Amino acid sequence: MPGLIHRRAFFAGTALAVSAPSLVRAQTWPSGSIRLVVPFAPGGSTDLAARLVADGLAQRLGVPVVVENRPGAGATTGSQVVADAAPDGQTLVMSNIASHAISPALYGNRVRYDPVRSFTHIAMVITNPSVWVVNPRSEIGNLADLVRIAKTRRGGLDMASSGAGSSNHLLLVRFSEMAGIEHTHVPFRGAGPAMTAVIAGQVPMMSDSLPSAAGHVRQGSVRAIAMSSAERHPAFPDVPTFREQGFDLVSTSWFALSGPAGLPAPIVERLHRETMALIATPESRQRFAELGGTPGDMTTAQFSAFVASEVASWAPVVRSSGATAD
Amino acid sequence: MDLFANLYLGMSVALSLDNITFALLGAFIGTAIGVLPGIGPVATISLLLPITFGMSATTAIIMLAGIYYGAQYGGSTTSILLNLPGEVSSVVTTLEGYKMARKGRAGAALTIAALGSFFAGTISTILVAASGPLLTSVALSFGPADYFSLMLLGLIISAVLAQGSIVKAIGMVVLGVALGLVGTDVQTGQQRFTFGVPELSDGIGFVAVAMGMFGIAEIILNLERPESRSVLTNKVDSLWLTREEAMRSIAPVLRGTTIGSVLGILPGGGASLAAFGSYMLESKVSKYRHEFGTGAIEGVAGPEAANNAAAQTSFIPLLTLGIPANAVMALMVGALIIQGIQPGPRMVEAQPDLFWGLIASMWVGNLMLLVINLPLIGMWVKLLEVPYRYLYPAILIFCAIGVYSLNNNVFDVYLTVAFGLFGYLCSKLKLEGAPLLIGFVLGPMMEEHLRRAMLLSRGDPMVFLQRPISATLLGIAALALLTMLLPALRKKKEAALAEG
Amino acid sequence: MKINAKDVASGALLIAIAVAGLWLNQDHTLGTARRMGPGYMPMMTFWLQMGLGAIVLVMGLFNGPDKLDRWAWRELTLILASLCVFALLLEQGGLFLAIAATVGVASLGDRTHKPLGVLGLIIFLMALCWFVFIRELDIRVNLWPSFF
Repeated sequence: MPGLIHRRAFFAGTALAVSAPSLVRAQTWPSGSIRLVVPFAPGGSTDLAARLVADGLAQRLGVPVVVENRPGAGATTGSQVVADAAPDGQTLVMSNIASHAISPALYGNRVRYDPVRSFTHIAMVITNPSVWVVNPRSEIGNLADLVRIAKTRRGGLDMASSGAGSSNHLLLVRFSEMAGIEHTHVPFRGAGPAMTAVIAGQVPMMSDSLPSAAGHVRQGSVRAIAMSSAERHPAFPDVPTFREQGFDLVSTSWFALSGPAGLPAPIVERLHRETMALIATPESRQRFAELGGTPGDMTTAQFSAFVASEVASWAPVVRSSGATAD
Repeated sequence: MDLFANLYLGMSVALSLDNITFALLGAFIGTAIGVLPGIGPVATISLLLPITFGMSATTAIIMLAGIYYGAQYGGSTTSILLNLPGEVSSVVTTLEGYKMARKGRAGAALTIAALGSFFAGTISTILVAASGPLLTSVALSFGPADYFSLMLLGLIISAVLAQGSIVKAIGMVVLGVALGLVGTDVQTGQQRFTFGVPELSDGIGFVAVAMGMFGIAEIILNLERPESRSVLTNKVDSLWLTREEAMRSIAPVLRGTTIGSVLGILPGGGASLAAFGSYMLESKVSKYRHEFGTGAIEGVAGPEAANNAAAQTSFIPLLTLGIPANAVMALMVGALIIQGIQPGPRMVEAQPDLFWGLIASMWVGNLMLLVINLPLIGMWVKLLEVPYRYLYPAILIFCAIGVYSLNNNVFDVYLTVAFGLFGYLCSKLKLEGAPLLIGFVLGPMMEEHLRRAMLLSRGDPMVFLQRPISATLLGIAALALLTMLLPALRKKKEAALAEG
Repeated sequence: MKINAKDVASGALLIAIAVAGLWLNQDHTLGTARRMGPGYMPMMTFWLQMGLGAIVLVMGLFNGPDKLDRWAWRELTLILASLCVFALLLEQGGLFLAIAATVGVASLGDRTHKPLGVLGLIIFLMALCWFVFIRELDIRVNLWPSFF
């Protein structure tokens, strides 16, 4: 195994892909390694998705694409770094529903960037719905049961999520308003501990992202009662949607590729094309399917419009949830 | 018996050339990054993640597990040699380990850390193999109220870590809890005590506090008293354990292994209690407890064994429930999911070679650690013979780069400066850092479990007494508080009488 | 009455931090025991800390004597300053410049240093850090100054 001896290649994987430094900058993009900022700590689903993208882009562009984790402040710290970076295509961000839809409303004027205008939105990578899961021994079989039981308890039903202000939490808020029930939100530090509490029966239900819940649902350690996609999810055809059960709720979480505002059109076009090709390979499709995600299929214009619509639709939900960062 | 057939299957997987090579490589990389202050296994594993895409799932997880326990071990090396703890468990190792190094017994401290860890790793691996699926119910039987009581017990006994006044130590624990409050409130998302600084919104980093209060403050103190550091550099005795040291270590290692194995199973933060739980126990039951604080080998042997045992048994919730106990394990789950494998109850049947291969490779990995580290001990000890005027700038640089690389942010370096100053102030006032760090780590978990328990009980505090686990833990906590305070009060009284 | 100045100062320090904490905590809602607000735990923590600080302070009035130690201002300032220099220079000035400046400032803290030794140490650390952090660990940081 000669690869083991030279550990730079081993560590950075793609770091040696290019050796000759380019003298020309603007004309010959990409020049040198590209930073892909992930505004979360290593190990989360955004980080995993980013590493898949970085690996694929590096092969296609022929330069190293290095993931840089800049966690903090609801994913706004890392996004700010990219908003402030030069629009030369060397610095990109794994934008997502937290950094570009929810946190700007949650953190208010302490977020200095505009989620739409401070960025060039390049390509949607993965979208995935939320899924509501209950303990398999629970008497809750569908949303109607859930509403009925919630009305009999003081303080309503205990509902777990991966954290205050997450899209999963906000889905709980929207649902409770729509169904006219009380609920006691039980936030956890991440999806893992919340899932433990549902499996152990300490909390009756949880609203989770499909990627982190998929394996538990498949293994039967929890039961899925509702999916927040518009149609039934192909990987889970048995799980009915909210709409089917009479609640007009669709909520999709997403990870995407964005860069600083004013990125030259040829760079955007190339990055969009390569990313789309990358997520269309059977290998990526299979990996995304394991994560419970759907590869994105939007043009850059559609994606920019999508971000704007997300910002507009989440702001009132954040306000009514009572979650705040101030 | 099934167990032996399974272990045989596991060994045949773990001992294949590929897997043994990657176990060795993982253990080596883990040790190397564990030695570097600040650079943790999380960053390294995420860096290596793309490389694992091309490996078989078994090989990938074996290498990542090797990094994990290699890093656990490497961290104790810098704690013993340089008073630089990179994580919670290493804070405990500094207490006696660094004192031993100053007495010229750095080699012995490193040797017992390696041997104790290996022994604990062997026992707890057998435990995981024999009863992993059964122990799952232990992990699930702990509710928020029980975790709260466990954390409270941990905070109370952490005052024992102090060599001086108990009241001052409890004061430092509480101050640590207060520092842990800085950042975003988990329940409401509100910012607390962040002064509008975005870098503080995720809380104060543990490494910045630990490096500042221990490493940086120690450098200033060493520069201030040139006579004391000559002790450090000039007197390095034999590397091997004396017969007496070996005999003294046996019981602490056994007790540490037991404590660590039990606490490691709990995914809600149990493993972080293992090392100092063992230290606390040794400082109470050891025949040599009067030597604690001056470099007692029991204070290294027990906690190191406990820490490693906990690192092994914390795989139980991961393998049987698919629940990661910490950030490193979350990454391992990610690596497996990318390979199309979901860890969980069905993994034992669906992927027996992966499951048993991993368990066998834990033991193989521990053996590798021993093979890598025992010969290195001589080299590490030689490091102490480098004149201190060359050593301390190097420590400063390594700390600074390590702290910076945590979040790629210089703010953490400034934070380290602030805690260096605070650590110096504390040592001038005989306020001790270890209780503060324990409070800092356990405080946020305790608040989280307290609020969740109260939320679920609809505000009824009786839940802490109604649940048998919680009630038992609270009883032990009350008892511990009494036994700590009574001797102190009695001593005061005697002193007062003698004076009068 | 034998005053333990260290304990009195420790108690005062704990009380001062607790008072500051309680003052800052006024911004946070306390909530109820059932649904504790963000201010509940800080309130309990700081009151406990204040109580403990008071005990330490009062006991310090009697369990002395223990004077305050002198501070090594020169070493303290130089070491902390050297780390600040590192933080200031790293992102714009690059790793090599930051190492040189940090070691330069820190070495003033030990009077036995000689210029040649410091220079050798700087070069050695540059090489070592390049190897460990850049080549092996691939940390994202500039090597050379970027402000030209």
